[in-house]
Amino acid sequence: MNKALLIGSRNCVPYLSMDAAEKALPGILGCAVDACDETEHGNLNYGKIKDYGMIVFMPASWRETGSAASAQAVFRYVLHGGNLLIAGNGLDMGNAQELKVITACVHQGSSYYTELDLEPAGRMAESCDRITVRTVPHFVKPDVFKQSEVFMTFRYGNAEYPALFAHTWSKGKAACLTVDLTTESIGALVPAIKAAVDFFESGQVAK
Amino acid sequence: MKKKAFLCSSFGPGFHPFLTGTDKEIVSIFSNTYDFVKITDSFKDMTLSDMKEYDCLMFYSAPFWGLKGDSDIVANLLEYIVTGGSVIILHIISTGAIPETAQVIGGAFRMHPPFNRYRLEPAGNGHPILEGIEPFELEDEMHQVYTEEVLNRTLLLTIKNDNGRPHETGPVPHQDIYAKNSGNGVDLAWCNEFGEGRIVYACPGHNAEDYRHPMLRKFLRNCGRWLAREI
Repeated sequence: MNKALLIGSRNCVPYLSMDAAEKALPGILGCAVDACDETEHGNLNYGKIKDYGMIVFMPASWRETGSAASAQAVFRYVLHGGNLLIAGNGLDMGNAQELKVITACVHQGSSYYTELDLEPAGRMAESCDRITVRTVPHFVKPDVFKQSEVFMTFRYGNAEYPALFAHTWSKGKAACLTVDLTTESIGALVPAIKAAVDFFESGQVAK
Repeated sequence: MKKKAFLCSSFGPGFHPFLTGTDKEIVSIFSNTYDFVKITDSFKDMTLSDMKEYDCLMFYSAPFWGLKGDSDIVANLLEYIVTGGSVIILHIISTGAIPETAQVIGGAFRMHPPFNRYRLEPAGNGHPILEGIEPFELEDEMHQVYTEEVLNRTLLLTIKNDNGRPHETGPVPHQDIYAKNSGNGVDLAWCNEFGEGRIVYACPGHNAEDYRHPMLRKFLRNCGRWLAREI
């Protein structure tokens, strides 16, 4: 991967800040990572982002800081072959239907900071260990049309929820990590991020 | 100056014969707003440039079956829409055959009861397409569709449950299939602004006779004008 883009927020509650991801992602992804904070959320266009090998999307409040034009830009990025990892609060996209269809899920809300066990599933079941992490879980249900492959799950209450899932979307790919990437959680979540990258690059999922 | 329309359907015999009068009715409905530059049964080789020659792409029972989401034609269609194109899907929501277009257009075919007489109701939400549209009855084949939950669709036409009474006018009396929705409407037409583009799905219109109904014609003309950004 040549270069990645991180879309996040700085002027937000500390645990949703992009700072930790900005520091950690170059080492995790093995490439340079440009940062786009909320001052630029509304100014994205396809021309600016089309050459990134991957976009990590984790803004704290896209419904306030994003724009329709930026949502269209990211939609076109995936449509034409881009790779989009949506993490944690990035799943709360407000009215940005152009982005919501790409997630292939319906975001149902989140809960409080807690300790979660992310269990590998499907193709990751043999190649990855359980990840125990303290973070904020987000709850999603699958889209009625677009099927995803689930790679990790977590239990909350009496129910099981997808923690990491991925799918192709037209000529591109998308993966969703349904827990927040924070200073505390990002280290533990490296295997999940790398699994998403593997899926983007090869369609495979390895430890 | 009229806008340019592209109309695609399946020309062969089948459940929705297009060339037996449906074609003429569709053209006449939209002809105040559009010149029909091309009417064809083939669209799978269209490039994005080809699509952008038209202000509106119209599909009536068009052969989307067998296409894949990563095909050029599907990517071109989605790019056309999100960058400002207009699309109307008439009767058969065949775009539902592909997950990506099912998501963006907003639905996929689920099932339909036998051809029957129904009362269609405008959604009453003040959308400009519904200007002057009153409830009307139509003998037609009304499709029940799965719908995409995450879209910002505006419902246009719906059918209300009639408390499960059988339709006496149908060739085969049957329990209203919508009885399961028990008081809820069934989405039969909607519109959406997706990216910079505009989308309409309109189920009513199984045959030429249906397209002669004055209120349906008025409704579809309004759809055409909205897609052309006249209203």
